[in-house]
Amino acid sequence: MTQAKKILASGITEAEAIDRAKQGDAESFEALYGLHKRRVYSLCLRMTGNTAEAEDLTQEAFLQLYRKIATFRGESAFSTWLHRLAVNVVLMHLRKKGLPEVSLEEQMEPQQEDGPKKDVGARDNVLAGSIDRVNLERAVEHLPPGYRIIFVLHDVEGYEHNEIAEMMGCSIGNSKSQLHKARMKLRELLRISLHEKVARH
Amino acid sequence: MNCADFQRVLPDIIETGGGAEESSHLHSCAICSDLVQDLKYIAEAARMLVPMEDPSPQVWARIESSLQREGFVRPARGTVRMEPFLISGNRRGNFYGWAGLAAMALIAITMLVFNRLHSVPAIDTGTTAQTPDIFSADDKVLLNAIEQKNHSMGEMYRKKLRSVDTYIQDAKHSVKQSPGDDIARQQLMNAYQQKAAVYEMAVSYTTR
Repeated sequence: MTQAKKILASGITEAEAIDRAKQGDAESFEALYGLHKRRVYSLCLRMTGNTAEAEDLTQEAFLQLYRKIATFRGESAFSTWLHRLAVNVVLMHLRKKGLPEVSLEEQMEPQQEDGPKKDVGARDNVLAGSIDRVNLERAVEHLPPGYRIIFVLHDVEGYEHNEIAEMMGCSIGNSKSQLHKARMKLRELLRISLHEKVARH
Repeated sequence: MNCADFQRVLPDIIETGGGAEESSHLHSCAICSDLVQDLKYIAEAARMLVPMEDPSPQVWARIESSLQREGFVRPARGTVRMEPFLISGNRRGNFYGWAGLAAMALIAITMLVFNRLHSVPAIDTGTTAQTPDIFSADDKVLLNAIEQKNHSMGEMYRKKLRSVDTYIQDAKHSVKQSPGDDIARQQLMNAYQQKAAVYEMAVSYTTR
């Protein structure tokens, strides 16, 4: 079923709800909120790692949606448009907070502390099949903010490096480098978690 | 190629698969092979992270309240969320009456102050000739002032005022049909409060 034909609980399609919301119809706006709140909230929560902040940002994203909905022309899917708007709201918030995003001076070369052990050490178990959703969520929460944002945008939300670079005002290489470091850090966190789990049993 | 060389180009290998040299190292080195396998697995597992949690109901309550305060939306009749009634019986009717009057008085005072600050003639620009408007003389004065400052802002306020005026008309109609209906009275009060809020924002914009 396409987005436009999706029937909302109120008995109207998403496209109709968008048109009515443009005219100031509160019920249609509530229907749109109901349809998209989970995805927007999850995005905010994963990017910030904080429930209260995520709720505030969800609120801000939907308020901005309403202020800008008249400019939505249907050139992309509504969910894509809303999602991009929400990402911008979160990034703006993080900039205001002064949290590190991506350093423009970031080197493509992996730093020693970010890299794996080289040529030494025994083989360890691979992660495949050993991590579940809860473990991964927890590990993502523990990523440094800059890594977490790139990882969420690329691997979870499916944005391409060129889109991330544009949104964050960094180079594509920078985005790739941060993603690699984020995955390496996640690997480390997941392996620690796996070892702890093994030690407990 | 050793592990250090391999890991230096690892982001590209993950993305593109790498060339013959990298492939050869990958097959001969268990550590690098495990590393690549793990990183690919993490990227795949990230897709498991589908949205699972909803925001608390307070989030929508705050959004709704903000939208109404800003005069962006006109609540659908009969669906508006009601505050608990603290006033009972006939006094309730009086309360709504006074609250409505207070909101109207606020609009009137706002316009009085505005007119003293700006001697703006109430000229209809004719931009809405196609739509029969229900704007009052005060509305038109305010809209003209905004449009003279910024046309697109004028259009936005025209929409807001049209929406809130329609809301007032609907609420008045409901009260007229059911004078004892608390919900209808509450909506009328909300409508006037919204209009006062729109006026406040508009005057603030023109005096910036």
